[in-house]
Amino acid sequence: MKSIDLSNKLAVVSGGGGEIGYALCRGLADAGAKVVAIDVNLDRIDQNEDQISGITCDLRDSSHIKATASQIASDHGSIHIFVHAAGINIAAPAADLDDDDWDAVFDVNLKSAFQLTRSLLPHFSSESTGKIVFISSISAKLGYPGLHAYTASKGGLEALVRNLATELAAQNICVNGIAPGTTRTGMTRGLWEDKAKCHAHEATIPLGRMADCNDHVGPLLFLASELSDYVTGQILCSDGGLTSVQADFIDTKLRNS
Amino acid sequence: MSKELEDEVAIITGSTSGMGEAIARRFAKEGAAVVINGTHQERGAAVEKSINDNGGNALFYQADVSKADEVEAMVNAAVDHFSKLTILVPNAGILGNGLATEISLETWHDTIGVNLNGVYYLCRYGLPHLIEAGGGTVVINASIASFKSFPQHPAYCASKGALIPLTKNLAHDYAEHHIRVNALCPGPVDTPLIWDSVKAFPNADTIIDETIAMTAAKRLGTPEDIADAALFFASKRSSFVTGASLVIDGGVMI
Repeated sequence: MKSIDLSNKLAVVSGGGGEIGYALCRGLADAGAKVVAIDVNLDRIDQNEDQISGITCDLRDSSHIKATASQIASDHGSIHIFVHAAGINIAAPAADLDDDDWDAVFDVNLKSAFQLTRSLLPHFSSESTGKIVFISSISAKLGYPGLHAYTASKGGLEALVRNLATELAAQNICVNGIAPGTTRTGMTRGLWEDKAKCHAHEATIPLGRMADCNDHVGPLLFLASELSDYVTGQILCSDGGLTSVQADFIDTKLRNS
Repeated sequence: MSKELEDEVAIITGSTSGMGEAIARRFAKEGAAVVINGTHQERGAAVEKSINDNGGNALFYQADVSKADEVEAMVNAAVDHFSKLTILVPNAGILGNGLATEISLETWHDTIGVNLNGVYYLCRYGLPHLIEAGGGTVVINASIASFKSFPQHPAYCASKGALIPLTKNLAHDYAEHHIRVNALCPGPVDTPLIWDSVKAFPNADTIIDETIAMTAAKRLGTPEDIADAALFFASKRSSFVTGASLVIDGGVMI
């Protein structure tokens, strides 16, 4: 499909070495953008490829983040798109989740989103509407046993989307978020590898299936392109309808009828 | 590469001007056959001709969306003419402004009739054809008035508010037929409607400038901004998005 053209745009994707992150890098590159992935692990990035390059960065290290932003700007010039896709999860009952776990999740999921935005801001191009997209999660709005730090960090990320949108409007930068529903990645392996569990879960999703990483590419391209120049401060749920319905009614009342 | 809406057939209500017209033009450009709808014969014929002259495939059908029989006849005419139907964009809207205790009952019913019943009628008669086509998308044009009140817009806000749960309900019930249903919630967009809307504000002379100052791009939205979002929801790019409401307001609501 051709109407989204990101040629001559530079996109920076934190967590670009991860499963969803890499799918997003690929989608941006396929739409014509030059992409710089930043992550602790860049195994997925082919360093010989022209359009997607990678820079190793520890997103828990503030000075490293700052240096990485400067390096991107000196290597590639002005930035047009920043996608914060970095995210980790440490699940444990509240009684067992220690401070280090909490800090690790918050540092990567939330604090680095702010630090990266702050460090990349001076390098944003003023020639077109700048685009910042944070990858949140439907768990920003829903509770899950054991996911205390993860859900809280995603909730914070959505609040930060709105807050940055308010301030960065003056700089003609739109800030939005995507909230993926349950997606087939390593993080959710426990769910989709167990067939019965997976089937029960998919029965609660109106579209009847978990997401594939590529399902989130379309929403990102929309929010990263001029198609959404009048959209800011919003969260787009890419969740198969999961958060729009009361799940227990799907199977019992309609799908089987 | 193919166009985004190749082989699709869309009905866009209220498409003889404003956002509806922009949506129809955008969809036609992306390869969809489009049914233009409105109550104004001359404007409708002009939009139809302009799209067809520019390589598109459009049919104007004059109908009042608040009348169920007219909507049913329009849906049947669309399917007769284009052989199928895959996209519904209930977009037609009116304001019905005034204080709740001062507007006539007729104004209240007319506003609910176009803004809410009109949406329902298009879905009521259109969805069976989307099911028959093996799937499709519904893009409901709601408003930020779905979430926020505006002075002397009682029927408008109430009718637009009802569209959000309707979107979710339809998304739920028709997902099994591969039909996705989402809502657009435009903020201040430069259409004929907004200039009528501001007359109801106590600060009618300054409200537009004040609103513009609150937006990211320091401008009113354009009908094309809304058409871009409609295209996203109508196309395969939003394959995993259903039941969603997208606010397109330049940031005035945050």
